[in-house]
Amino acid sequence: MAEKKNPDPWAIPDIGPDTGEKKSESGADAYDATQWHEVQKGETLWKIAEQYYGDGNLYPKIFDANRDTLKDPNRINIGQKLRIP
Amino acid sequence: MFRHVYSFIIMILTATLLAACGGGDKGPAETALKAAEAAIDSAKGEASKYMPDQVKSLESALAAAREKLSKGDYKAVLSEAPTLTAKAQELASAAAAKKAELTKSWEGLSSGMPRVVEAIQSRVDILSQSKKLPAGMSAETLAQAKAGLNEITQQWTAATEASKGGNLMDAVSKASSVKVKAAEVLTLLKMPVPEALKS
Repeated sequence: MAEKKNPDPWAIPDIGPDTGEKKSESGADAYDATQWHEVQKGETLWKIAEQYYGDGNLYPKIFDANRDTLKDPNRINIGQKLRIP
Repeated sequence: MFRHVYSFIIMILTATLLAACGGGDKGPAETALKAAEAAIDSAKGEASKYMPDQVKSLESALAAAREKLSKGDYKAVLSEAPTLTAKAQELASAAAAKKAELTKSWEGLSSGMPRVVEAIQSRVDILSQSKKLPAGMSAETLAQAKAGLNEITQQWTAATEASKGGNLMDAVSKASSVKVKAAEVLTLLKMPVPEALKS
């Protein structure tokens, strides 16, 4: 049985191509209230969740909102743009 | 005797002639006023919704013209009634333009605002599950955001109902209040404020 494990808060993000969603960032939609976060070196989903929600345990919220670009919560790329729900 | 009769006939003829001269304007004055009334009635339907003050002013001018007609001031009626007709036609065009403008505004708001509200709701729900709030956000701030969201939801429902009831003016006005409140709540939640909410 596949167990959903917490991402390693100390994991260094992979340096790879930016596969994040960009379309909504263009500003074309004047009502777009989506908050985006660009992954920095040393960040993890847990850290990002802590930054926006105050609680790293809520990282699955970010993972679920970015299922189109994230396959594994432990693998995020520097420069990748993540939707923060 | 003959002279008296002759003078009497002359007097009668003069009186008839004078009456005929004054009364000659009565028919055209009535027709002109009816045309003005018809034009105002026709414009009133839509204009009452979008330009009620102008409708009121036009109706006051029409009432004044009616009074002049009843007092026999036909020349004044003949002079004023065509102006009223023209103003009524202008009002109808202006009301149609206002309706088109409000319709466009409402279309933008009704397609955009639900997404903004959804984003706020999502963040409030997540923060409500958080054991500790993010840096710079207090429990009081979150409580304010929740109260704001509640207000937004109620006002948006009212705006939607106004639109369904055909009251676009009210719908856009309420939706504009929602925009202002939503911008406040987004700021409280440290979320980006969309461009449409900044104006």
